Amino acid sequence: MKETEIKNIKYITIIATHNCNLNCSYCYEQHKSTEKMDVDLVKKIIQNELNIDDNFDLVAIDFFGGEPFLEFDSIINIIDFVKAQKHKKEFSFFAGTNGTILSEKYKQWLVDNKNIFSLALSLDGTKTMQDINRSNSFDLIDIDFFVNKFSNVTVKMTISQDTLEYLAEGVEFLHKSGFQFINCNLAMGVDWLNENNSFTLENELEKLINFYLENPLLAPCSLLNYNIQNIAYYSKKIAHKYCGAGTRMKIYDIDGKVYPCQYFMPLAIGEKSLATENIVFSDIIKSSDLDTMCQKCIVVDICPSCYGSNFAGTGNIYGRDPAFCKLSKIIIKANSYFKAKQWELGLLSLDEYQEQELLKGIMMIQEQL
Amino acid sequence: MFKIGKNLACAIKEKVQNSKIVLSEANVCYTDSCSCKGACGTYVPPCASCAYHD
Repeated sequence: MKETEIKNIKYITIIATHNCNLNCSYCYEQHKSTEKMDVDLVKKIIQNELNIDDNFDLVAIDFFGGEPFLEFDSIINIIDFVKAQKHKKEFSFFAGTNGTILSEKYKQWLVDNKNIFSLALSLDGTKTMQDINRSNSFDLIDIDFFVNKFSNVTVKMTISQDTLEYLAEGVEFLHKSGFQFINCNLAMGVDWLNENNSFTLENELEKLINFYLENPLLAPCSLLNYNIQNIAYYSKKIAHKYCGAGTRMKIYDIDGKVYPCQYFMPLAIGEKSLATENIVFSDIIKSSDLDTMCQKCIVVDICPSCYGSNFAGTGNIYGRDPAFCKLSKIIIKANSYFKAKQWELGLLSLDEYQEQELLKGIMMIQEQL
Repeated sequence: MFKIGKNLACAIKEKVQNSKIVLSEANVCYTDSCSCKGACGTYVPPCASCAYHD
């Protein structure tokens, strides 16, 4: 499916399995098992989502795990079923995979179905980085397959405390490997308290900024592509929820139970999950409901606050981890510096309105953060 | 770290102060900055604004 216009999209995640063949150092899913989805139940769930009357035009269906491709045959079965039916809404499928268990048969299926099935590959940078974080799995991944067969594949690079010092090297490696879209973020829900992290992060971001200024045709990784122009609209009274948890996203666990996002499932937080039923999510948040450290923070609308991680750590979806907050501010300051340099060098293609938004956002960060 | 130089800061400030453009929040898309960029590190679904690049 090719889309050129923005559609109103509903994000549905189906947990294909609680199982994973890796054991990543930062994984927040602390309660894995060999349980897997019930194919008939999933078919009913998807049929319902594709046909109920709501305001959405397109349903993006994400298979998640554990490692979803451990259940590849069931995924094929479900997709074949959905393709054979008529629905009120359009649909697309998606899976993020660790890329380590793809047989030739499954690779061919992915190629044959790339018009409706998108992929993201979790790959944490160089072999050293990947092997440190993700169970020595670098050599199991056919990187060429992802790069050559899926030109728009997103690669997801998670940075742990152990790989922070290689951040810039990892991003450069992924670009050189042929990936165009690099989604790079600090691991959530892990201990970032060590004071040295700030220093290391600053150094790595500086290297990364220089790399992108020297290579202006490359799309900057997500770590240097924050929407800092949105800060121009900062309000002291309200904030906008950062992610789709509980509003635009819906997660179906293997038993069909619905959660606001995967971080709230028993698979991730065990018994704490029971308390999530009473949480009310809203896309607009009163500032007074936020963590005190966020109430007067000008970057609250673009700060990658993970409500699941907040809840797991503090029992409150708005309760922040101060160590993560400190690193997030460094990243946002780096974004403002990077964008300012890009503007100075004439590397940005903006209309007058966009330019004003961006410059105002830059100045607010530079002067107030 | 990441403080821009005085000259650049002045140039940006001047550009902002001299502009007659009135910014309106109605033009801001907050949702496209969320799940499609997968900033949470767990979710990178396709979306109309970034998934169908080809």
